[in-house]
Amino acid sequence: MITLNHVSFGYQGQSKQLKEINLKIKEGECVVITGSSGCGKTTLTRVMNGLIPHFYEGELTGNVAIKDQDTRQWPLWKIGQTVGSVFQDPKSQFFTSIVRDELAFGMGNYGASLNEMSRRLSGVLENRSLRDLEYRSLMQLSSGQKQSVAVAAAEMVQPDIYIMDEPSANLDMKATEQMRRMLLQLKEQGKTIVIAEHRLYYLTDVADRIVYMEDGRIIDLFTPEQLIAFSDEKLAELGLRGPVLTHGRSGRAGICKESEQRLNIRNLSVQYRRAKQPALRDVNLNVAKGEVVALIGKNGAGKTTLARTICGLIGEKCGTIAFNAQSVPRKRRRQQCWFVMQDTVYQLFTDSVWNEIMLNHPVTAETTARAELLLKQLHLWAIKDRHPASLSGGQKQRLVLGVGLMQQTDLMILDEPTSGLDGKNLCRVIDQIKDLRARGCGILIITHDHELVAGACDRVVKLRDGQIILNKKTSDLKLATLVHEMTNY
Amino acid sequence: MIQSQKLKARDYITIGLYTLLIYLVNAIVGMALSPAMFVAMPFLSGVCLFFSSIVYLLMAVKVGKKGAMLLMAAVTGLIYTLMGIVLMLPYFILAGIVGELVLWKGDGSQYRKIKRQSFAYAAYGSLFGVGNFMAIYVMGTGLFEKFNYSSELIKRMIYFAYSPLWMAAGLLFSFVVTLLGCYISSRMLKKHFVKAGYLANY
Amino acid sequence: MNFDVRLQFAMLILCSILVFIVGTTGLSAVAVIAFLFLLSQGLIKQAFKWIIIFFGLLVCSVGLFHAPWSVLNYLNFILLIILRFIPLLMVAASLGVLPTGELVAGLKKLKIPESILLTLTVALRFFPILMDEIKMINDSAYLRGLSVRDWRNWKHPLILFEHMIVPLLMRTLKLVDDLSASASTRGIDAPGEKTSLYQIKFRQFDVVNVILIGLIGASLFL
Repeated sequence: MITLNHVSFGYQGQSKQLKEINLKIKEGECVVITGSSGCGKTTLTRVMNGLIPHFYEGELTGNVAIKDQDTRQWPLWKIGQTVGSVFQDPKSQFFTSIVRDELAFGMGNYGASLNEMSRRLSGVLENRSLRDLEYRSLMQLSSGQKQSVAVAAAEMVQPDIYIMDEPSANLDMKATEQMRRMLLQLKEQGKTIVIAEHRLYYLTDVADRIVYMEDGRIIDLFTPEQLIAFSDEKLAELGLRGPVLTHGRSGRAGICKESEQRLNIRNLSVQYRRAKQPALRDVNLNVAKGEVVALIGKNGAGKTTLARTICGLIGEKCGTIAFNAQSVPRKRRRQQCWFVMQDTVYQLFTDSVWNEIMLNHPVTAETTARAELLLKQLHLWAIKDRHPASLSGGQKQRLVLGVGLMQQTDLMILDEPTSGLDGKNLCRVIDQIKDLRARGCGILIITHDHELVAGACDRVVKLRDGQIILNKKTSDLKLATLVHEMTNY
Repeated sequence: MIQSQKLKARDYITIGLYTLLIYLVNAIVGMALSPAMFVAMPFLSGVCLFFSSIVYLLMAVKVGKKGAMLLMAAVTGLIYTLMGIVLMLPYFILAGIVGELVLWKGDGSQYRKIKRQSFAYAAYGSLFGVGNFMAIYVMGTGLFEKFNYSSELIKRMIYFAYSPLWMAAGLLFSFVVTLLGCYISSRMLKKHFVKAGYLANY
Repeated sequence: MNFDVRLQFAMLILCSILVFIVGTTGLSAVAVIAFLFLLSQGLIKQAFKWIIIFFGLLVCSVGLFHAPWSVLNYLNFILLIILRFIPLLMVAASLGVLPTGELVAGLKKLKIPESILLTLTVALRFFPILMDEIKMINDSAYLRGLSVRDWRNWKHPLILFEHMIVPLLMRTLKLVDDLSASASTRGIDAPGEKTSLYQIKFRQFDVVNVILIGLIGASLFL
């Protein structure tokens, strides 16, 4: 179905991203491509769906054939009829505003008749249980629903091959489970599927082969059975995430014994204007010095609202928020806590790493010395003159953390710090969090990532409909229980 | 590789998004300035375009082809149409054509030149400003006749509205301020986007 | 249920001309017809909201009519212009609730070139997204004391602007790239006529719109 022969590729003006790739994918096969960030797996998917060489410019050598036809001789729009693509960010892969328009978009481009279009539309809506959402605005859907729509939109054109680039990057565990079922269904229909992914646990019964890449080369091929049998050490060496939910990193060793409280929330309620239900109801939560608390729950359960209220972005209806046992009014809260957003692009404002960290701080011997020390500790000193936008995702995240540390905040809130990260970078983030706790910060992490919770958090707090329904030490939870809590809301 | 001069899907998407952003920047700046709205009308849109110039320049050099300016103008007109202000559509298209004419001469590389694009945007901008202002005053006068409305202040305003000197001043002001905006924007683009590697140096 | 997009545009264009030439009575008639126009399409909330605003402002303006000071006179002048725009906003409101697909299909029937429609689709599609992004940037600017909400920042409007626009533009560069890649794999460059789920044709229900257009024309003689 797909044949790659000695394929090498480098984006314009950059070094080679793919080196001498040879791969044959049979009809009806499901192949998962994995490896650490920057190993070239996204680039490989782009070679297979024709975006390279037709959309991204660069130098492509070797042969890429889909159904025995060279992709270079095939216009991209024609490849699109055989190869359906799903991308990681649902926000930027939709072209219209409501579900049914989005599903019809591809067929409309190919000039399908109205009859054929409505026939397939109702079939796909039924099959993907999207009937109730047909007229809904895409903006209002949850990330899980958006990914369902993205897959359904690809299905409308009835391609034989599906290429997906980290389809689960923005999904919680429940939506990931849904994705697994969709993939199984596609496979049953005999479709050929290629998925580039970090999260492997949901793919073990879908995949036929797992391709492991490193530095633009295919290093290894293994079966799901082999992957599951890998020891933790082997996984760590490859920089992979755990392939099973039943064992893996679990139970943090050091349990926080500090009694000094960084954050106290008492009887907090929040209600949005025009909302019938309060977004948060009577929330009580403590975070001790050096304690790491995971905030879990479904989208819309109130996790983000809680974080934003703590920072003072939203005002409370009643209740108090205290830092270091002192109640702090809304307007002054931002000085005492720091919020690292999921997408750090929004948080960087200046033209160099150094200016970023010094922004809002007077230039004195004390501040410059502190900034220098911080940048060195965060491994950013060597790149202090670079533009923040040119940094890698991990570097940006560390820089944003640094901005918070420079303010000497008592509480750090991290929003999905590990979404879309491979095993190696997950470990880095965990180390970073350990470093934060050693500094005596209280840490609150909003996350869907069970490996992060198991590997770094002292306590798990679960929200449902604006109320805390679970507040337990991680060491008291078995990994299986934790996974259960994170999959079922 | 020689860039083709025909607009492709990617260009349409770029133009669509940035046209909207230009519209939003203009609307937000306009809102902030609205207290001065009717007194300094011919001068206000110059200020709006001063701010939106960075968006235009980024779009223009990203696309770097003929037709981007006109397409932007037409879509802006359509956005206004959807908000109920239909009569501005032909005027926007006219302003877009003038902008394209400024860019016309050359071998095709001029579309990627910040300087040339700045002049085009300033030309577009000066017309844009005067257009807004004319529309309002034409409507205004129509109203006075209907109401037999008379007041010293308003008479004076109408006098100004039709005085060629005043109109020329508005035109010139918009042109200069937009151009100044483009100059500052081009420095901002250098400071951020060229440095971060998103744009080729110029 | 909504009217044929082409008729809606005809209504809008007719209205835009009329509101500047009719008198106050005529204008009120236009507003009432626009109200019926929204009502008959089931946009009840919008219809009442606008008509209340219209007559509220009308009463204010009549009250100000004999005001002795020129400042109030001037205010009234502004008010009168705003008043003229309200019927237009009313008619446009019903275009605003259409799915983009239907709107574009309608515009296509009006012979607007494909390239403009494609660009317009993207612009409409990104409206909620950009508003979202602006909010996010505003929030993170607030956390660092750089936001428009702190009045001190207004002392340096250019720096304030730079802090808002640069992250936004950085974001949009990526959005454009991703969206273009996605659209390209879905055949946006395919040659030949594009088709739509929406069929734009004149239905019985549209007769109501034709009558309303007739009525609006008649308001010229009021």
